[in-house]
Amino acid sequence: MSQVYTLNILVIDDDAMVREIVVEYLKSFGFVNITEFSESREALKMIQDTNVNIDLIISDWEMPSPSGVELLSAVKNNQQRKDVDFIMITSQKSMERLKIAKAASLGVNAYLVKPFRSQILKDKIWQVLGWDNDSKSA
Amino acid sequence: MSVAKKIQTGIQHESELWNHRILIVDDEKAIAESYKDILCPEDDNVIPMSSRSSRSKTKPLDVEQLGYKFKLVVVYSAEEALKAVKKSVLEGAPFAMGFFDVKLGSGIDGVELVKEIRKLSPDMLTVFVTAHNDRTIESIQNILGKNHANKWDYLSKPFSRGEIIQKARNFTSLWNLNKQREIHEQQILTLSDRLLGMERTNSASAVARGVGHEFGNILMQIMGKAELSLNKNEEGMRLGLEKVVEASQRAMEILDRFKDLTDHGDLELQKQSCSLREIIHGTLDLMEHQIKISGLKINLNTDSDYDVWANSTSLMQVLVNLIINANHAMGNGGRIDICISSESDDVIMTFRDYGPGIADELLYKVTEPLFSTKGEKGTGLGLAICKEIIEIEHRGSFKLKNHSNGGLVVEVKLSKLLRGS
Repeated sequence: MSQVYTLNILVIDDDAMVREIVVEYLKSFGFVNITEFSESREALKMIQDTNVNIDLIISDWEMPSPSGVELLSAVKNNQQRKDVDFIMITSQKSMERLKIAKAASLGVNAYLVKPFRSQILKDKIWQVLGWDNDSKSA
Repeated sequence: MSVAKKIQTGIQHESELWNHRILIVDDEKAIAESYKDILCPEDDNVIPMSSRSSRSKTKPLDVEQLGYKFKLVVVYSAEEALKAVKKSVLEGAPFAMGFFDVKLGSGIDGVELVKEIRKLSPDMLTVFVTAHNDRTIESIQNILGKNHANKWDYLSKPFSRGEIIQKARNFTSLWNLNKQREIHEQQILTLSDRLLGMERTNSASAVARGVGHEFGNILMQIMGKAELSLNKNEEGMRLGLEKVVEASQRAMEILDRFKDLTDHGDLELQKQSCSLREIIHGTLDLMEHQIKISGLKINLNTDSDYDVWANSTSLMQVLVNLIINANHAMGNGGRIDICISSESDDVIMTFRDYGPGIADELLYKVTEPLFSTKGEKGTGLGLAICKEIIEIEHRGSFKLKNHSNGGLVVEVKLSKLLRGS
């Protein structure tokens, strides 16, 4: 691994296999500070605890309460957290347009539809962080 | 025209659909002709049936001012009357009513004539007109039968202009209102059939959304594991491929179940011996995502299991509907108990939720199509479909009651199938 990134990333998904893949993808990009949550309410506690430093949140949409949208709105309505980048993951194609519109209105930074390959996730992360495109090849 | 549009429109009084046609039968020409003066102040509304019909000039009367227009066919004998009725039925323009002289010279009288006409045009309404009480009301009733009692009336000669107009108005309106009601009843039946079909598709599409989610996750695992394995050593690749196979297997199982649920064919042919426990567990697997999202807790007591002769698709659909219903009744985070038990030759599935239950006086109503306590959330067909599937398709029983400690209890009873038989 040529490069190591120390950003604090939360990965929230109640589905163990999806969470595992996303975390593995992140590790392959060079991220080392990853916190996983299978239960979104635990993630919400961490989001509300402003002593914890969070740089990026990657969350599933469809979860028992609080859902991904509720997490998003908790982040964007919190003065200390509103600048934290939020990437939403969903799988329901039929509702996609409606959902993108809703997520956009709440200030989501990027949006991914499952399944997606690692390069797509990497592009989105680099895009929301405003990093140089060259480092994609890293 | 769409069904909804037709319902809105109905039959307007002035429209072409409104039946204004009246048959006049009297062997005394002068009297027969006098109906024209009263009911049709304008000559061209009279359809001449024979060359003998007079074309006397008439003066305008108050019928027009009342907003009623009639079309008359005037005949002078029973034979002509039957011919006119036959023709009207063939042309699809039946008479709404007729004025019948009771005494019709030689041959059958007005009452016997009406009895014959009933066979051709059962809905036609009748006013008997008589000079000397030729027939009593009782004798007419005896000839026509009690079932027709609301289809005829009686008028004595000499009649006044007002009496004739009033009977003509009332009976043509009655005929049209009856027809309108028939059309509406037919439309409601058509609509509820359509809704029934839609609701069946709806429960399948509710499951389809969950399945879509599952497939997204499974493909994520397959795609991700395969991609990540590319950069690993042989052992890492082997582990990755194992995960890929595992995920593909899971996808195949879900697809099989989903095909079961959406496969509507000849239900009679598709019945087979199935384990009630497997049906319950299969449905819960299929609905895993919805159950999780809505935070439902499901307690199963399926230790005892029995086989039933059933269409598994339909039974799964019953369960899907019951789960969706219970979720609507309780909101998210509710609890459901599902239990299999046995009673002599029957196997019983008891399904209980912990919602508010249903008011006792409404319990018998909720399995009727179109009844809903859910407001905009439902079409009110969920429980009606369940009842139809259990009682009509499977000859079982489907009963609802409120639990003494709260919540709705659904009891599904089916005939036990002896194992190995």
